[in-house]
Amino acid sequence: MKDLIKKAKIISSKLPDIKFAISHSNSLNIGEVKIMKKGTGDEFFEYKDYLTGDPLKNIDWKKSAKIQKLLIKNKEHESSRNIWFWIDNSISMKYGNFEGFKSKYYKSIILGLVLIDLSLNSGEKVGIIGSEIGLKKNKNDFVLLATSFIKNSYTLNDPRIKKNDIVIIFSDLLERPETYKKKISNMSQNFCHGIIIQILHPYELSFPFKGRKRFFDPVSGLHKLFNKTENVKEVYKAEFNKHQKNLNEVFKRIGWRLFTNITNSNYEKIIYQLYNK
Amino acid sequence: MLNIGNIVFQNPYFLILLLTFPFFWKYLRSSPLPPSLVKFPAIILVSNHKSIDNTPEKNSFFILLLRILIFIILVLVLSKPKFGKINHSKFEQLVIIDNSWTSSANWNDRKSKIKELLKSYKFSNFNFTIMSTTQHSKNDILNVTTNNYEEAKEFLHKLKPFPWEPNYELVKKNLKNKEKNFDSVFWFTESIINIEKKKLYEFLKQDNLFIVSSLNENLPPILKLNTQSNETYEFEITHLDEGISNGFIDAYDKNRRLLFRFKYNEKFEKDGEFFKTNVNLVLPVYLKNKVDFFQVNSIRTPSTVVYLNKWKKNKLVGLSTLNSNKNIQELDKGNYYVKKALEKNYKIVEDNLENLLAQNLKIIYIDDSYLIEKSLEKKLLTWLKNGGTLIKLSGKKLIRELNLGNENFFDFTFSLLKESSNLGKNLSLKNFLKIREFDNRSPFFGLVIPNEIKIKKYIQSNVKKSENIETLANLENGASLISAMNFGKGKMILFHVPCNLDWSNLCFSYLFVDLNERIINSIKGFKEENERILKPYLSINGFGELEKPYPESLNIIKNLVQKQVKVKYDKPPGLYKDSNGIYALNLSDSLDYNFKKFEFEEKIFSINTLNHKGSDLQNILISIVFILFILENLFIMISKQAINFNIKKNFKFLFVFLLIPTNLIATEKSIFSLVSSNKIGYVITKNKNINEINENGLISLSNFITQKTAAIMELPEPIDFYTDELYYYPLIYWSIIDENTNLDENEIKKINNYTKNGGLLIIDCKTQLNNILPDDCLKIFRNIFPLNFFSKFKVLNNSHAISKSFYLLNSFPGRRNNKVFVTSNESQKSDKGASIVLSNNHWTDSWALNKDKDFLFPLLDNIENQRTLSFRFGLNLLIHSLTGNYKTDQVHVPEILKRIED
Repeated sequence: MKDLIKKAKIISSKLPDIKFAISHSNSLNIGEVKIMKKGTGDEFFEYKDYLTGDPLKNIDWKKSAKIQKLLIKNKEHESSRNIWFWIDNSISMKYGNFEGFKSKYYKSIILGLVLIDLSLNSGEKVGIIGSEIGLKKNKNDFVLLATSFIKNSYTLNDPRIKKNDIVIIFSDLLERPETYKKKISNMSQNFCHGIIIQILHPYELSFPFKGRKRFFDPVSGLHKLFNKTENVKEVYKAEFNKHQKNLNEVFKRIGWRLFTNITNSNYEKIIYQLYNK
Repeated sequence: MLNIGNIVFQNPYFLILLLTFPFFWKYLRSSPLPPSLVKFPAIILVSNHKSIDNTPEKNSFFILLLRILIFIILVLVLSKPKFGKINHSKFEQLVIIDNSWTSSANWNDRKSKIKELLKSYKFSNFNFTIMSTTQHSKNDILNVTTNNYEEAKEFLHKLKPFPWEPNYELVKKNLKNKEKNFDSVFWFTESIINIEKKKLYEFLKQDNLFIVSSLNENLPPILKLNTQSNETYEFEITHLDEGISNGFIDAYDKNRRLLFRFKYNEKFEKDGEFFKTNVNLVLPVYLKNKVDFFQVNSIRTPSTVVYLNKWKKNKLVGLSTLNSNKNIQELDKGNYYVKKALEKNYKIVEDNLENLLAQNLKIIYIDDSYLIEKSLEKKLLTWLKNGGTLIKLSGKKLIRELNLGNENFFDFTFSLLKESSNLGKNLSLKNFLKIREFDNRSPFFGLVIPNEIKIKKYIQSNVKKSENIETLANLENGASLISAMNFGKGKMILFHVPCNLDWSNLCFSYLFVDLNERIINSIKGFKEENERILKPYLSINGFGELEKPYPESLNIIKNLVQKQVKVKYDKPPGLYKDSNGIYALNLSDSLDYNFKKFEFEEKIFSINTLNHKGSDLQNILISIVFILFILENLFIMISKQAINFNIKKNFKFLFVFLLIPTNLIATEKSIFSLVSSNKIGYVITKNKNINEINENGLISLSNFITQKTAAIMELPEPIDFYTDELYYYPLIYWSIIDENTNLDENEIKKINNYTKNGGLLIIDCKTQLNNILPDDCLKIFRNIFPLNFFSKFKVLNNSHAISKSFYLLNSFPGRRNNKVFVTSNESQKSDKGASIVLSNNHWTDSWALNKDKDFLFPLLDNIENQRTLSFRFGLNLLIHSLTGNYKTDQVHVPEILKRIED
């Protein structure tokens, strides 16, 4: 666990102080993360040199007297949206830990921890769906949240999710799209916005197998024997594309965004995707 | 055989199996590998597709390829391929096996070498002509031409040495008749030559000739019985290689029971190419008629045995039966005892005197109880004058008849006193008399008189009356015991005692038998017939033993006047008999001694030194099959995910792993050859001279061991403690030449392991050749082995198992005769036999020979038979290393005691 946290910290430390793309806009449509900008909220955000034109009421007289310099106390832009994380811990997520690849679950964990760390750094309130730990916004709570996130064995259901909160889910989405739609609708009575980060193994995209092989799905227990696996490749790809298309449609319909990432790609890539979109 | 390019298939019929491949093809394909299991959750995406892949089940190409290769190579292995520059025609090989009398001593060694040769060509495209050199029937010698190893082996198995001389002329003739050119000729023979052999040698030299000799090159000695006189046998022992002045001759009965051993130590004389030693063997009297043959130095060859004639039974002896007093008990008759004494060696004719005289016998016995009728006196005298011998036993009856005047025939002859002597009476000093030693004029001279013979009464004769009477034996008081008188050509002999216990016990002793034999054998005109036809009775085989007569053997005509019969296939040495007895035809009587030592240029000692053309592909193919088999299994296991093995990553490991079985198979042969032969190892030192002496001495010892025991010793081999494996040598000889010799840890460990597992290390200190003491050797040893692997050194004595492992020894000399130390490895797994024997006796110096087969060094101490004891010690060491303390078992005690007694 320490290694996972350490690795996530290293990655996040390389990243600049990110303001998520979602924080650039107040639009809740995208609703990803709560907005991190100065505003009129109750909580202190940052000090800034007074510039002519700034409202006087914002001047922190006490502090200014101390350092003999006028400082404006910017308040945090108060938002009612929190960020919730959830990771799919089904058996299929454990797939892929071979030939130098990391499993989908590993990739998801690192990625989740990086986002949690970045969110905390951005002053967001972060929570783990199903966890007993409530929303946390202190950077020092990262380890607590990370531990809870890694040990995740929670169901995708949490009544604490408020309206307009942002939910980030990590999964390989190999089940039928309708299943996920149902899971999301059952997640909370409140309507929320969400991001689905689909983590896949490269083989699940390319299907590079050859020869006589018996395939086994550990989730459903399905066995499939092919004497010449090469013959299956095209059918598989077609089915895969169809599945992805269905997923896109389903999530679009409920207003969620789908990001797909493969286990051998850079962590930074998905972060930038999230940032840019 | 089938040749394809440079490859020869020795069993090409197996290649037909390749045609059965289609049948196997179905099997190879229809048993696909179990599919490898792939955990792949995304497969759920195609779960609804039921018939995406319609490809029929089959093996992977790689597995299929491996299996096809294994099948094909296995068929090739069975067809025994061989690679080499081989002609399409067969190679013709000639093997000449000398199986004459000279080959017996080394026959086993010779056979094993021939087997080795045949085996080395077992799988080759060769045609063998195997020919013996000794004629076995008229114009025929045993030979076979075959390309079948088993047939050749069978021929060799049946081939035995013949106990007569080879016929090289016939060999040459047979070879010419074969009209073949041989690619190689292997001649298994001894390093001797005569004119015929030289001609054959010159003839064979044109081909690629190899003379294969035995390690033990010494020819067996030739034992010849020159003359026999009574108990004295004059032997002549002939050696070709060297003069040997001492040895022993054993006397055996027909059941090979050793009756007598005669140790001789006589000077030898050089006679042309040979060394001859004359030995006079005197046999104890009691054994005279029991000995059937003699053998020299326990060597079992036809030339080292001499069988004796047994035909004394042809002599007819008449025994006159009673013509009166027919009621006399059998045991009271003198005839009974005479018959007992003579019947073993003579034919007895019992009849009344008249009839006996009519049969014209040469000798007639008349008992005391028999009265010569006056009517026969004339006839008797005539018979005597014509050469007959009458032996009369005197006694009470004779005295009575003399006194009555009824008998005057003997009185007239011997002037008898008509009364018996008066021993045991009141006035006599003695109760009995003994027989006086026979003087050198007596025909009985040399006979030993047993102490127990007592003469209580005898008839005295008045010698003064007739000076013609010859006294053959006297009593201790000078009175006559046996008198004789000549009548014309004949003789009358009187025993002054009868054959009963009242007068004497002479007739009950073996002396009586000897006395009568001497008398009978000395009778003139009592000779064999000049010409006798003798039938083969038993033949002497190639190992000097009697067996059924050879089928080709014919009757021989024994003519004493003419030369001895020449021994050959139809007149083999052995026993021939007729109704009169047995005649022994010995090889030594017939040998021509027309050969001499000869060193062949082409001589080799080991078949291994020959390089055969072509290399065997079978082992290589087996290695390949083995590798393919491993690969196939590995592949299957990887496919089944039974093992997690990345071929690319672990290629180096896989390569080494696959090489191991190949190396194992390749080294198997060399290891087998190392362990399948007995050889002594010697440690190479920095001193070249000492190395040569050690090798020379150990070769000589190996020859000695091969000659004396059933062990066949190969040539000794040099050893380096650092590089060589020690386990192959039961015995390792190490001359320490430097006081500061050191071994590294690994070498010490090796020696420790070697001795721990029963190896025997002989350490001979040669640091300062003249000054070193055995105790100094101990110090050197302790410097070399500071760790305490070994128990405390003890002085070797006759209680140690080494002293009795083969010979019974009390001293253990080499060139010196210093004390010898012995120790055993503390952690030895076996029976705590000796592990290290240490001294400075320079044993190899004592064993080493020069080119002339003389000993290389004189002995520094001189105890009796030191050289012999030195060799025996070497032999005992080897046997001890092979058998450990076996001989200390109580079960051997009786036999050892018996040998000590002898």
